[in-house]
Amino acid sequence: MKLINNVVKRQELMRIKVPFNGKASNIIEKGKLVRPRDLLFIREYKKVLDVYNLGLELGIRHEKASEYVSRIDGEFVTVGEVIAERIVRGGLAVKKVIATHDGVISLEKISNGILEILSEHVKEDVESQMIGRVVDVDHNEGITLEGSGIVFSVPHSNIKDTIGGVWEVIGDGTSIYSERDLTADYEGKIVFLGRYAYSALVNEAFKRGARAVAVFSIDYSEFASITQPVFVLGGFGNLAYDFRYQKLFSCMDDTFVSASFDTLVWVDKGQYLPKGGKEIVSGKVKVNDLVRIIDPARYSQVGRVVDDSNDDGYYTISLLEDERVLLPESVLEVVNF
Amino acid sequence: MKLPILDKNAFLAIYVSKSSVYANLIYADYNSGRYYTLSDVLDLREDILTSPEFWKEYFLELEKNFNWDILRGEEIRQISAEGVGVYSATMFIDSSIRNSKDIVSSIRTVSHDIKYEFVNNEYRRDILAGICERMGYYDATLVNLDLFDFTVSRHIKEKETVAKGKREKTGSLDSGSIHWSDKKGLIDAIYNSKLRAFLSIDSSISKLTDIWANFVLSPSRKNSSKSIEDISRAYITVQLLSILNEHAKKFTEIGASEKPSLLILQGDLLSNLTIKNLLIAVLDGLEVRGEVDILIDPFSKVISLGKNFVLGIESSDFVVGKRDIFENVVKVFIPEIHKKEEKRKVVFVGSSQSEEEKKDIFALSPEFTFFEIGSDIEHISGKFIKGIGFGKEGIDVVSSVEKVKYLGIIVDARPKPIVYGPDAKSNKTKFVEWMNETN
Repeated sequence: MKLINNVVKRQELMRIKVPFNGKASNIIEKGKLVRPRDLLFIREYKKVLDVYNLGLELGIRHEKASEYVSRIDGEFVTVGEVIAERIVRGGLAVKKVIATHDGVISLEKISNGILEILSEHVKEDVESQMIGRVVDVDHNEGITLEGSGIVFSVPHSNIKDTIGGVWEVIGDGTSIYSERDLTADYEGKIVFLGRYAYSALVNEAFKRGARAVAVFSIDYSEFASITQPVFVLGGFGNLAYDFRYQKLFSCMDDTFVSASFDTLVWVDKGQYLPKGGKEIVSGKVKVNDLVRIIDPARYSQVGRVVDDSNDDGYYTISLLEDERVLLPESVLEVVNF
Repeated sequence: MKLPILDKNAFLAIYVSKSSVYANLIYADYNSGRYYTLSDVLDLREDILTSPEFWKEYFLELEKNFNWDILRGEEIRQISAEGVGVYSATMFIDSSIRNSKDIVSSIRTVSHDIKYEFVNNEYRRDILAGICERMGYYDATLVNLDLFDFTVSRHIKEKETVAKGKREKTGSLDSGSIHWSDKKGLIDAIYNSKLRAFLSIDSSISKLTDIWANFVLSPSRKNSSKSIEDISRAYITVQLLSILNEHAKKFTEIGASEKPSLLILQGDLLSNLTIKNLLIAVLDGLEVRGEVDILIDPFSKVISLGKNFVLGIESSDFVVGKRDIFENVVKVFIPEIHKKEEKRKVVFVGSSQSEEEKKDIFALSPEFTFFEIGSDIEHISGKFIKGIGFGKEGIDVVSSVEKVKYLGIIVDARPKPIVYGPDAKSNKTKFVEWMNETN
């Protein structure tokens, strides 16, 4: 028997955290009912003008980055000023990181080797995207809404805290993208970089202000080198990308999402209707079951069982473009989308 | 209608470990001599054990899977015919599972008739001691090979201790374990130079890491991937070596005492390896020498049916026999062979005799030879050649349903100590030699 993997499900009375990510004013009261476009709070923040990965820039371990910073947190710098440096080649040379924008130094993420230059304060109205109720207000952290959410189980991430932002999809999400496919500004966004990405593209998205990044697949060695928040939605390596995933992630474009280590919760705007969600256990795999393949040769491919009559415990799975494969039950995971 | 338990009987035993739920439904028709066990395993992916909804669905699907009516409403249906009812049902819950007592509360929402027992070191000691007593073993070791949890528990029948000048005989259980609390740590283990020294698959570390990482995220049994098999084999050896080294003296010299010894293998990694690769991984990890019986127990029958087996006829619900647990047993001989021996030299000569035929068998160094036993009764005997270090002069094994029905005999004629490395390519060459395979 197997546990059914409800890859995505709709959940009523979901608690969705909306962090302030800065200072907040005009905060809505606890207990209030909200509809789409109702004001939740006014956010005051400093825009990220540039991001420097000191680990990569100076060739150091990210935990040691603070030892090479030559500015203090909150200090104003102008273009051309040195913000970090490292003596190399036995003292014969100095590697320097130069500010490319005027702005304020932020060392909030220096433990991950990240130094940011921020703008002056910017104000933004944060509005609800859903029908729900305000169930908690933490004046330091953010508010919590209760309402219907679309929940996706994340296979792996390096996230420690809950992150909230607007989901943005690059293109239609089906390609392997490069830096020229990125737009200039991802402030406040959780950016989906497509079916397969590499660390340079991920780091570039962060340089353009992304709060977090999601990819369907990435090489583990690349993932391990990234110190900023990344969600891996399929697995590791360059994996096949089923249209069902593509449809789900594209539908969520421009939707607020609350993301934790193993879960993405999008606000339910009626943009996606999951087919399953209540069943937990499946007996033997049977005809018409939707299955995800977990054999390394075809990891993450999704197909439908078309024949279960083989005596050896093998099943015929129909994949995209009428491709059919014969696989044992042990490498099939029953899924609901 | 309740039938006398001497006529037909059925017993359901469910073992809940941290990673899986194992169900064994054992049935006996004493009149016709019909006995069998239905087994199932469900691998857990999340913290679901305390959910009443999960357990309700679990029992419903189990009934369909076994084609057996087990519950009637919230009551255990009493056995009335084959496929209908059980005499009793017991759940064995690993006591190291977080919130193990909450699991009991959840299951009670399904039925109050289900009995419970917690599996802790005391339980394991009692089972191993009972098996030693009933089966004539002196030394029994239970090895749990779960991807995230490795445990070795050893019982030696008489362990003499000197206390205040008096010799005392005490039953004992020595145990050691390694537990991975998060996936990242386990994935990163692939970068460990110790593990890589045991790999024999010649592939880029980047590709192997992706395969291993995906396997850790979505573990599977009977995975056909050669890469997964090889990494699992290396991983098992390294984990067991770590336990062996960390607990000096507790697990040394398994099999070397010249007294009957038993290794019991359980866990979710078992089915990802061939028998030979599994045995090599365990024998090398625990540095086993001499002679040992190895019971391969993929459905954890020793834990779930072991208590009834040990109680024997004193069991109040079902008498579990030898054949119900001792199904997949291999007899292994590991003589001391040193490097100075010539390659492909005969180190063992013997014969295998069944009712139908007699055939000559021999083992060559440095091979890991598996002699399969096909018939119900078979007698294997033979001698190691002069100069080969083995406690006894020869071997004399009878495989039968009445005693122990062995799957086969293994002679590990690899030179000792076993040396791996320096790289995967060298290991691959060694494995080809050991397994007597062509490239």
